[in-house]
Amino acid sequence: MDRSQAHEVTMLLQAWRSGDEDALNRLFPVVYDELRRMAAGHLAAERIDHSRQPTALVNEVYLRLLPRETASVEDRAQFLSVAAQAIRRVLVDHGRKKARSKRGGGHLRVTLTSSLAKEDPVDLDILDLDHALQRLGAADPVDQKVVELKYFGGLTDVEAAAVLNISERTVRRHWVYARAWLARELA
Amino acid sequence: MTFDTDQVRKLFELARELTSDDRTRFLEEACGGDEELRREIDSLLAADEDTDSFLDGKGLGEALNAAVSDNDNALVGKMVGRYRVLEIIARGGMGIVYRAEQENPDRQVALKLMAPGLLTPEVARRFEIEVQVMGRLQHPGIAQIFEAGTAKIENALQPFFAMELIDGLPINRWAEQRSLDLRQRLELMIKVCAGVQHAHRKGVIHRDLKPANILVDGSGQPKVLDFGVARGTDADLQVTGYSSHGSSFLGTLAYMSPEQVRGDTDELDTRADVYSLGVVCYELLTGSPLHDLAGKNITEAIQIVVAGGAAALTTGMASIPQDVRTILRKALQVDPSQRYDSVVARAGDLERFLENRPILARPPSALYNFRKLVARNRIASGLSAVMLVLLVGFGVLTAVQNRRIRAERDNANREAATAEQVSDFLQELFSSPDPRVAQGESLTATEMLDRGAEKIESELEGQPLVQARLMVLMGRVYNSLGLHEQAGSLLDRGIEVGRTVLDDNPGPTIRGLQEMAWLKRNAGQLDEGVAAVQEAIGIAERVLGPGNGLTGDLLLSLGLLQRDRGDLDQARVTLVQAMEINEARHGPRSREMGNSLYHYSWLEHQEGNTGEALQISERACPILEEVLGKYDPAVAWCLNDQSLFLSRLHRNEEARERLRQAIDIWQKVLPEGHPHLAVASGNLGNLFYEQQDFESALREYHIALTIRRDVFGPDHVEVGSNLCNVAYAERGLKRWNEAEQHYSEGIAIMEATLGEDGPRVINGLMGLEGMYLAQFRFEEALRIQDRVVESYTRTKGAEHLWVAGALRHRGGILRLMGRYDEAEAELRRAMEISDRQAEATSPGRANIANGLALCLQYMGRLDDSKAILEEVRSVFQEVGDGGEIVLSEVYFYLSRLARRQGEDGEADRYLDQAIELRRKVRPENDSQLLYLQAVRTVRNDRSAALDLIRRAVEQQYPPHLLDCEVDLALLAGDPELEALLNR
Repeated sequence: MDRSQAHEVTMLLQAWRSGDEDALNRLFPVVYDELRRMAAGHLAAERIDHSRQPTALVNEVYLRLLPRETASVEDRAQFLSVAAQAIRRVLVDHGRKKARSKRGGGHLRVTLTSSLAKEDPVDLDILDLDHALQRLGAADPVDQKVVELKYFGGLTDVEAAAVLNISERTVRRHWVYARAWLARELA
Repeated sequence: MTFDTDQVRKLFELARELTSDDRTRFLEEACGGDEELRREIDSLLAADEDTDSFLDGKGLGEALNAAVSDNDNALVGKMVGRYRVLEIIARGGMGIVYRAEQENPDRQVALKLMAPGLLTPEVARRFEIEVQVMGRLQHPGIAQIFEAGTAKIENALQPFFAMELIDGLPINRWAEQRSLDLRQRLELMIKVCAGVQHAHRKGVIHRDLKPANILVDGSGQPKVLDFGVARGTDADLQVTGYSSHGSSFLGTLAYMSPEQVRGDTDELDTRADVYSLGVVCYELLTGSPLHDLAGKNITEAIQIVVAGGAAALTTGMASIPQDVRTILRKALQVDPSQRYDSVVARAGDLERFLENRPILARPPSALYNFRKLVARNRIASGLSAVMLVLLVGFGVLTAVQNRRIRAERDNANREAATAEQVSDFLQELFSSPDPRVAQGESLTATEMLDRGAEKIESELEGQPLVQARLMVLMGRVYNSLGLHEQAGSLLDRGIEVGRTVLDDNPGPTIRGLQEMAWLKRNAGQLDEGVAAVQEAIGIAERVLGPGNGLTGDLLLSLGLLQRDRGDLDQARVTLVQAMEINEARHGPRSREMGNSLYHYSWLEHQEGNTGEALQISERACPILEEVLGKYDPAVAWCLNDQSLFLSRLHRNEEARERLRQAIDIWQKVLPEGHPHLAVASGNLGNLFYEQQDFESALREYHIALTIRRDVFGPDHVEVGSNLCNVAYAERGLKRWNEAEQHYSEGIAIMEATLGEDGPRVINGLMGLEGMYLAQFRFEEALRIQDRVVESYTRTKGAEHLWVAGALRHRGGILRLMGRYDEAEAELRRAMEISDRQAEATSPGRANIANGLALCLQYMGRLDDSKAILEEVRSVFQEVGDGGEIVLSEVYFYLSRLARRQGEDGEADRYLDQAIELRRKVRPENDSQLLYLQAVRTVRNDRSAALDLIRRAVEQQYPPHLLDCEVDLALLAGDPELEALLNR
């Protein structure tokens, strides 16, 4: 990791926090690129881990881009937020590409359920999820944001609360509602 | 949606907390009759029932991988620029590497594309830099880049580059498959080093060197892959980021430097690569990995790696030559600065290292060891030597490179420190050759050095400080090897280059001048030597200020040179000053102080104050022992000198004891055949010689000679000097022919290097002259003495006391030849000089006076003779202790005078006094003492007298001094005496 890049990431995060929306646009590609590389690394090493939580993945990207000692708690939370968006975008881009492709033969499925709760796993189209999320967000942007952070980014309630500048309790309320809403929409 | 989402949310949240019955009642009430609202909330509650694992994120990682993989594979079969993509070879770094084919020329290439993520200007710029960097690397040991460009992929312009596709095996597997032997494996490793070194010189660090990245192609050429690819890098990430298991990760971890694993990413520099190469090298040579991380969890694995490779260097090392082990141990230090720095680390600081310099008069063992290798004309293992050179070059360039990389942080001091470390590294490397390693390799160390010198000149251009430092260092190495010419020119260059950065860092110039002074000293050009040191002192004072750490050491050098030049008074002042500075700066029981005392003791010895010398030496040795430990060559030197002082004081038992202690140390710390052992044998030989045990002396001299020939080569000054010692012992054994031959040979060898005025050349000549005199070959002796007089006049000036001494000697020879007038003239010239230059009480003046008195006696001018003798007697009677020898001589000559005048009673009384004085300071078997006794008894007991004469001659009494005119007049014509004379 070169130092200048870490520095750059930190600066962008700070700029973003202080209201510079463009900073996010500049930050996003860096995170996205790292994330892709991470995923590729997993693949190359034949270490596809079916039980792997996004938390671990995002944390890796984070550690890669921001050395521990240089980043503040706020930096970390906001960084994770960017990473969550990036993961969502990777998956959606891929889903779209697949959908366009004649050879692709269908949509990418993201298995959302675990076998403990349900006898039959429910397959969920990433594009459907994305569309549902957008509708959810239209009604309440915070719902969408909480799902993005907790699902795609694997953030804890505490981390999500820090990113969104709301209480943990509020995060949990949004999460419960959004999850039920999405489950109903996508059933 | 017609209803208020806030209301839905609120009711949903409340209802969710209630039991089923309560919930129904609550909702009926809350929704009133709004069926739509009620359905909305019910459906949410129903969905909520089943959401325990909904959106728990499982499978997301897999989906990501699939997404990435599909994206990457999208290019297979398509054209990128002129290349058709065949398959993915690897992913990582900043992109994906494909195998691709090119039509013209028809070949397969490795095609690297930036990951098809979002191509931002920033990412593109980084890629561009990488391409540029890679393009600069052109080396057979590095996968070559063919082309860089952009291709339109899915309506976006994407940069790519095509590079050499290596069809080969990882280095360790290749070596295994071919069953390479040690030598071949080393050769392979050397090639790898060359490639990495090339990259470092171009400013590129690899940071992920491991066998998987070093492929060997069909021709046996190793190629380092992924230069630049690893930039930024996967390796770093994997450590700081991965919290999970995975064999491939552990495979990478095992080759990483501790600083990489710790995540000190901004500390990374070329030394991280050096470390990784060390790990690879170990595995290549031993066949097993340095760190066996199999079965370890990540925490354990990291702990193992962070502990460093040097600690792990225990097993499997038996098959590795000692010098390679040393290199590995160095390369695998945890602390990057220690990787080339152990000398400094051990010594504590750089100054201490510098303080050791005076010992260079007798070079430190590191250089001696190395010299030994050269003498054999082959390095114990030529290959490890080559590797050593490469790694040395590596170290040098590492310093340069790191400086470039950290330019903004570095200041001049740090640069200097880095360069010093490199120098010390060089020296450290030279210090550990293993004499046991197989022989038969052809590269000589001299060749190795020459190559190194060239490298400094060509590859360090624009780095004057490092250049100067290394030139001076190499100059020192050459010098210690006796390659004075190369040493001189390299030192000149080093000083010259050093002057361009003098105010920045005067170190190289100062050390260069100091070394140059030694060079001049060895060549007998003491004035130039003194001038060089004085300039060095001036520079040190001006640039570093008074009280700098170098002045003490430089003054010590100056003092030694002045001492050698014969300016003993000046030398004393200088040495005392050096001692004061060293004591103030380093403390009374410091190594520096020990060294100062040690040298000062020699000065006292040279001034004839042997008792003083012994006392000082008895202070110096314990300090050195305390500071350096019992078994240190410097302690041995101190004991060695102490032994010499003791022997001068006729404390022969103690002298031998000290010498044996010294030899014991040398034998423990030095390998067999080490030059210091030659010195020890030589000194032991001297002790035997002093005791007239010529057989034993000759044996020791031969031991020393064998070592020196082996170490220095047949034409070295030390060999010449040693040959003269052999000749002395042979002279003692009256093996005249052999002695003459060895004298001539030794003198010629020394003269070739030291010139005709070299002090040791003169010493050898005087030895030969003594032999000619013993053989009554006066003409030849006189020719030698003419030369001595000329030489002293030329080098010391006509008024020097040494010239007076030489004239006295010449006068003596002329007297023996019966050329009394000439003899008197020479002796009077000598007297005039000594009257102007010396105290009336000086032994030198007294000797001349005695010589003149004796000459006058032969000329029949007895009164003149007596007047002189009386004068000398009165002077020395005042002096008391220490004048015994001279006074004894005076009484002897007075007795001769009385005898000539027919006053036998008075003659005997004088003679008795002469004998008594001599006996006080000389042992019973002293040849002069025996002669005096013979003269005393000749009147009473003819055969006893003859017996004494025989014994005197056996003890080296010069036969030409057997005087049959006066002393032994009664025996004149005696066949037994004739026989002794003619022997």
